[in-house]
Amino acid sequence: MNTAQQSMAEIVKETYQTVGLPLLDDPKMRVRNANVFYADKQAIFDVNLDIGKNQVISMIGPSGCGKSTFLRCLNRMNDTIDICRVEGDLLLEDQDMYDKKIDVVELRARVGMVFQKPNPFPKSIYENVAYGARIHGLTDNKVQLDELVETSLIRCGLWKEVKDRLNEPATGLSGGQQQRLCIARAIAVNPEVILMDEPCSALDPIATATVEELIHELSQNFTICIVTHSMQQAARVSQRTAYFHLGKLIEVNDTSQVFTNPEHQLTEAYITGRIG
Amino acid sequence: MNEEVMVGGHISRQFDLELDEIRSRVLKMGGLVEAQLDKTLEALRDGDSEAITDVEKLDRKVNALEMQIDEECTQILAKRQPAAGDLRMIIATTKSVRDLERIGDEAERVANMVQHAFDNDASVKAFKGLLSLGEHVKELLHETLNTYARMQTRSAVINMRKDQAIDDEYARVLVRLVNYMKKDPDNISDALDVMWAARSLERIGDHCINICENVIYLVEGEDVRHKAIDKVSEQLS
Repeated sequence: MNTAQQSMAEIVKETYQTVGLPLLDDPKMRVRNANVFYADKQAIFDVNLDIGKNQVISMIGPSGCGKSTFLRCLNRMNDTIDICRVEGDLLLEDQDMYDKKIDVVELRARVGMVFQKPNPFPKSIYENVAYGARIHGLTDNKVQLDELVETSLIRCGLWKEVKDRLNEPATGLSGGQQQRLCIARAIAVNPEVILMDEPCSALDPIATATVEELIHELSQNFTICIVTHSMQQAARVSQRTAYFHLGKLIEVNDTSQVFTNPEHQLTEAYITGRIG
Repeated sequence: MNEEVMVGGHISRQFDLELDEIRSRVLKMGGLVEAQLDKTLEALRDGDSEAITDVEKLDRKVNALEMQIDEECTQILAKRQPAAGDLRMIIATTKSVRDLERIGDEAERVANMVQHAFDNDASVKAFKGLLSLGEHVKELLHETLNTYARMQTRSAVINMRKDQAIDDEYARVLVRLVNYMKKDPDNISDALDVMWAARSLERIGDHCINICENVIYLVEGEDVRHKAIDKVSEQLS
């Protein structure tokens, strides 16, 4: 670690409280005292954060800061990692997501996820969207399924491009189309929250712009949390921005404030490219 | 609120250099504008036509710097997409550069009026009545440039109060000129020229305050335009 990084680490160590506005009235999700461990190594330290309803919150921070680990806590995807342990209270509305009685499959339908690398099922375009709805018992009726697939693809701006080839393999689509299909797949099961882990990092600029536009439209009806390495993207798509550093939540504020006049010096240092 | 502006220290050394160059050019432009005002006051004091020519030559350099700095700021916005303090610096710089260029124009305007008085055998003596106002404006400009160079909000507020004194002095000059015109209608033409020159000096004071407001925005992230000075002082304390 060089001198600048050392002093930044000291600043993080001395930061005990998140600055800005991490808590909200009537949030969609509530996180209190979240601590996450990978075996003996602690990755997230005492995070308190509310996720606002029908809003986009972006999570930024240097590599290894814990933003993706935190995102995965929000739909228990960390359960798939044997050595990962999550402590604290994480609530979806008033429901404890880590309650032993919770059906984690149903939870992940309510809190859907889109990953960095588009991962359509090795099925047709139609089946990619219909599959989730079918196995979650939303509908078995062909007419209703057709309508659901069409609506989901329209909402993701993909319908016109694929309506004449719904039975073709999804893997034949371009990267940007595949990612939009994954989003369509997520929204087909009528989630309340959509988690996106660097959804555009594998896409070209045009596909990225298309997905960002889609995020903007979806935020009217869904709560969205997006992890991104692109600060410009965070500035463009989100209403709130959360900055993580070495596992701590340093600052949460309105995006416009974070990018013009952040409160914490670490936030300023990161977004101006003085640390990374 | 930020109390210190981070300058330099970017991971990209090239970005540091680009910002440094812009700052240097702004300070150079400030120096040239100060020289313009100096020469203008020289012309006011001594009726020196060489000083007037110098003001015009300096104005050409000032205009060229304005364009160069604007272009460099545009390149930074396009290439670096600056945020937070860096973004505020670029915005404050483009605005301040505009104000500096306007100060140069106003100084040139005064110099041209003195030249006009010369050319028409009018009384240059009447312009000497503006020397006190001119010296106060020159001092304010100098302090403003220091405020920008050091990025100090405290001195920005002090300068804003000084401008109020300049406005008061300008008002007194106007009263004297009106009385002068009332004494003899033949004085009106000369008095009007002096009045316009006084107005230009007062406008230089206003541009200095704009620069101080930009410094406050740069350092604190607060937009204090159109606010009373006492409110600004309260907000920053």
